Amino acid sequence: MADIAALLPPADETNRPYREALKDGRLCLPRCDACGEFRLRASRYCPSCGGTSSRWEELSGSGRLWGRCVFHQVYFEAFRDRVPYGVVIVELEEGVRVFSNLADGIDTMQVPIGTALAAVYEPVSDEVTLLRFRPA
Amino acid sequence: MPHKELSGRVAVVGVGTTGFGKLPGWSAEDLGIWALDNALADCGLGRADIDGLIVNRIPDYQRFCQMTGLDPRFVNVTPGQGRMSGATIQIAALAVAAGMCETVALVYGNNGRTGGVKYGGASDRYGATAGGEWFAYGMTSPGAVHAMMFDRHRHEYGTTPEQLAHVAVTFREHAALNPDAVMRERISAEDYHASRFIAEPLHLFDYCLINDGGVAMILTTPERARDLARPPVHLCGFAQSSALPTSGFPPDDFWRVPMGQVATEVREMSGIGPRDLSGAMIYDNFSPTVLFTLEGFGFCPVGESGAYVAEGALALGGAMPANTSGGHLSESYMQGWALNVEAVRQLRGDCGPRQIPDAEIIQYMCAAPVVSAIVYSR
Ligand SMILES: [Zn+2]
Repeated sequence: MADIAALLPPADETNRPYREALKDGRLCLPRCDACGEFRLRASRYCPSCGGTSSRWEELSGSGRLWGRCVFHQVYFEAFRDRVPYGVVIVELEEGVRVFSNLADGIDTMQVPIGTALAAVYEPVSDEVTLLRFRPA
Repeated sequence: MPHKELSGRVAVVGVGTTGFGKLPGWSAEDLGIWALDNALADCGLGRADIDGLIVNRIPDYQRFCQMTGLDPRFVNVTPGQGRMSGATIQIAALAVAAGMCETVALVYGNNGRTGGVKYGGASDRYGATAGGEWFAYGMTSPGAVHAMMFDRHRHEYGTTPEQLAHVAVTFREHAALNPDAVMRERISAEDYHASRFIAEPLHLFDYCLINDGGVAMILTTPERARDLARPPVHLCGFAQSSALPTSGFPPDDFWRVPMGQVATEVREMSGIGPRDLSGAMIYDNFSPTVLFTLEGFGFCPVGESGAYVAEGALALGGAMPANTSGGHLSESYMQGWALNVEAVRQLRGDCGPRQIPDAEIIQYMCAAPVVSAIVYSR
């Protein structure tokens, strides 16, 4: 599974707390002190209000299935033996969206849009844990 | 909206295309020059007559002028994304209408097929999934984003794969009548459903064709157009809008809000609505985009685009003949440029067996995070 981990861009200060939290089985994202919106990575300015102050906060890990597709085409060598595989968009309770997968063994197209989901934390290497989901 | 008095103040006088396909040895600049020379020959102008230039997908306007001797007063370069073709034509029209130049050349060159350009995988740098943040989840490519959007459309409105198939089958039918099209062999609905999935629910035939090629257009004032070789085609209405802040993910509304704004503005500027059109050129990077466009621009009620295309509306002889060249799905993915040229050729009556009889008004539309539309009239 190490090959999948290698597809992640290098960690930096915008995403390191997020990745470290996943390894501990927690979902953490930057939250704007001014407007309260979460965002996917740290940035000097809040995309919603322009605020310049934010902190990393833990999210519930609950969300709903927004969209689905199943990859049959091999775009990455690391996925050659995994096609067909599902990719989903999850809308988290806190309003943020992420691309993700449903946990191993779940047939993506059998899970209806709108299904309530819960985070699962799946290590793919010693260094990398991915945020995946299962029906809640 | 653009000022009403700009309606009809700019005309397309020359169009040129290269062959489309695998053209090894041709750079993007070479392909652009090939198309430009065809466009100049089309209207009877020479390179010295060009005093405005915008290049697209050609990386460097400076090098392009060194290679061609073009000596523009007004010059620009726009990003090599399909959504930018309509927007670039609008910039050119504004430059002519404002007097910043009189005769502008728009030059597009794309050697993506020979260059091995891929829109998915490690080189994915367009659209929502660029940057690699989601690669470890296997997520990449604009096609997969559109697959998810079609899945949502299916979920919200009951649109079926059988309805969607009509888009690809109809445009291939048109391509069979277009000698310039890359894919001319007719396909049936059965062929469509038997073709492999790329990002399910989308099949191979739902995807545009990456190819090498070039396209050029020459725009000028109606006064200047009177002396030229071919009848002018006027820009009667144009507008754009966008939905960029949230474009890291597919839109909830299939871009209906920005499309609605653009539809209203072009209607007010041109006095022309969907019912007045002889045909439509619809940006078809992936076939579901055609459905979203039909709804967003009011060709059919929201949620009914599947039934609309299944009735044969987009076919020659149908209610709204569309992408008569075969479009991106079957002619070649020239990122909107060749669709605008097809609009001009239809309005001149140059389209032979694929001609829309008595074509008078055609609208180009692009549904994407940047939405644009242009109404062309004889
Ligand atoms: Zn904020």
